[in-house]
Amino acid sequence: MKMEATSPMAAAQARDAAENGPARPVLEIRHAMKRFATPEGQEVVALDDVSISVAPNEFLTLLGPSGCGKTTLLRVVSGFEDLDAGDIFIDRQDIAGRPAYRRPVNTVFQTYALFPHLSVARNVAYSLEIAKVEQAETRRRVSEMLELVGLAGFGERRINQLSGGQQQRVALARALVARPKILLLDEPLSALDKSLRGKMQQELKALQHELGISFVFVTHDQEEALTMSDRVAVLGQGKLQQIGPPHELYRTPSNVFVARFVGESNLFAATVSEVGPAHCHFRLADGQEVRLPRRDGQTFSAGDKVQLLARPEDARPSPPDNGTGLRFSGPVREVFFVGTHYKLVIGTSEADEPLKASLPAGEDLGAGPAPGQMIELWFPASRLHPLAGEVGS
Amino acid sequence: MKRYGGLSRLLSVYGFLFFAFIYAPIVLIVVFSFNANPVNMMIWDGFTLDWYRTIFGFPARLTESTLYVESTRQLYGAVRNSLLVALVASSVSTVFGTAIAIAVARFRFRLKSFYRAFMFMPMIMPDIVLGIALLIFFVSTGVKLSVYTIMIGHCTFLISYVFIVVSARIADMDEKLEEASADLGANSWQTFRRVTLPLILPGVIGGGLLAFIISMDDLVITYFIAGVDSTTLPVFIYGMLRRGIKPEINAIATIMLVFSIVVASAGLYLRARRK
Ligand SMILES: Nc1ncnc2c1ncn2[C@@H]1O[C@H](COP(=O)(O)OP(=O)(O)OP(=O)(O)O)[C@@H](O)[C@H]1O
Ligand SMILES: [Mg+2]
Repeated sequence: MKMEATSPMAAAQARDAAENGPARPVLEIRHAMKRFATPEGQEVVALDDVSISVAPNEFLTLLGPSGCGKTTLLRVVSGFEDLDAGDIFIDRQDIAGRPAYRRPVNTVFQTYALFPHLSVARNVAYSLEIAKVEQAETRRRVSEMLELVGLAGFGERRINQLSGGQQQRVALARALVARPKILLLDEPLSALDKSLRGKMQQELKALQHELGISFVFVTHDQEEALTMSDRVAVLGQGKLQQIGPPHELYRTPSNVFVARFVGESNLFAATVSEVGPAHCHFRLADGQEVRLPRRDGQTFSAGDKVQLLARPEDARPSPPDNGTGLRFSGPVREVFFVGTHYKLVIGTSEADEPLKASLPAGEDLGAGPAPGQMIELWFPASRLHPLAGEVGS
Repeated sequence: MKRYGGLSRLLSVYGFLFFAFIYAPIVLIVVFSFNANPVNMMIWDGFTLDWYRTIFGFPARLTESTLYVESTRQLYGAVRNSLLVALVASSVSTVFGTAIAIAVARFRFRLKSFYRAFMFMPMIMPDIVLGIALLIFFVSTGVKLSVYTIMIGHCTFLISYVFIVVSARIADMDEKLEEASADLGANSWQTFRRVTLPLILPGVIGGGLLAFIISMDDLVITYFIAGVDSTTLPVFIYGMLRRGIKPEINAIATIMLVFSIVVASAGLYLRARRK
């Protein structure tokens, strides 16, 4: 389902970008630059040439470590910060210089920022009252909205009489009631406990689907990003590292930063030993060699230092006789049983870092590998993905 | 545990002495205001309301010679001046003090900490210096001393008090609330009316009441800049005192005390109710 929904969109966007024609997206950020001067007299580059566009009805997630510029990106869109350079278009209109209160975007703040002196209903009605919407109409839309977020009957409560999850819903209702073109959500779920969080993730997704509003969702939780989004934009040090559908980010990250940040990873240092017309050969430090098909846009030349990425779940316990891949063996250091899988940490002589493997907890594994036991693993070539650059970067 | 027994008793005694030290004189004034002895206040001579009668201008049962407040009309005039000055000066100071507090807390501008320090200056400046400075200012600019000069003079330092009280309240307020308001389509004025003001209102009211009481109470500065017909209550009382401490003063002091307590309680009540 999700794949079908996202791929035409991604294709359309690619076409847009190629034609460089009039922007179809509801939100388009072009070459955004933002620097801050710190009190210590230094300069922080919060946004470094970031270009992102958001399609109608898209759920886009901004993912990145703390301080990478996610909040800053939302704030330049909502109008609380000005860009040093670059442009922002909402519905094809350049909104430079337009004050925050005249932008058709609404925000769900990380701390909710609900008005403590107003009731739940008045909080939700706020934007309608400002827009001088008729009273009866306001009442109708507020109760409709409260019902939608599951808070029917809570209208007269005060904000401090609500739980964290309920406050979260009020913030959502308040931001959505005026039907913005784009909803910006800055880590809206980070204050909730894990189970409530999972529930809210599903509800948010359902709500977005129902309302047909584009969501730009900020999180530093990669699992949340992968499960909820149509596309994910990974930010690191103010730069856009990669943008694409979750599976693309996970399977074919464009650099080591993305590979490490999205999902768990094993990275093997390798050297390009041979470049053919359709394939590249990579040699590991321990002498193993593997041949991988060349992908679009990969420009390796012989002698380049690269990293080969293999996800823990790509590990196979018993290598078949035919088929290419990488073999490793070593003692099991730790075993975690997670129901469907055994997660193993394996020490190998070659890799600097211990290997991570995840094996299905089928019958053949029984009670699972024991710590200290020697184990042999195999990663099929089809699951390996070469990345340019050193691990440290 | 035992060892603390003695210490704890010592602390209770200390506490008692501390509060006695502060409140004993005030309690004495209240008690004396009902003492019938016209000559020596320290000797209790029975309960009377005569001193209250006297200051309110009702005929007292006492002889003319003890009637100290010669003119109740003068006293009323002083009270009226005081109330008028306090009302105008505290209202004006509340508006300006609040505006400055918001500006300093919310806007970015150059020399901000300099301006903030500047706002504290009138508070730490000795009253007598401020009084003389204002007097010289008014005289040299040719302004005739009147209740209006008192109002202007009071504003110069009351704004500081309001500024400080309101600033504390704004510091407690989440700046994000104003951003949320703007995000939902409210312009600066709408945000101020619907979010900022309601949330800082307890501070504004508190600052205003404080300014009112301080203005009612001010002697030193007012003494310099009051005109001939613009005596305020503290100046009037001071004038009375110079002719000797008489029982009527206790009655006036007690009434002022009650008045202050009522104003302060109203402030506290409003504050508690808004929370
Ligand atoms: N007003 C400001 N003044 C100075 N530096 C700022 C300001 N706002 C943000 N920064 C800096 O810009 C960088 C990006 O900040 P931003 O808040 O966008 O990070 P973030 O990705 O939202 O992080 P987090 O996940 O912790 O919320 C940080 O290094 C931060 O210190
Ligand atoms: Mg942030």
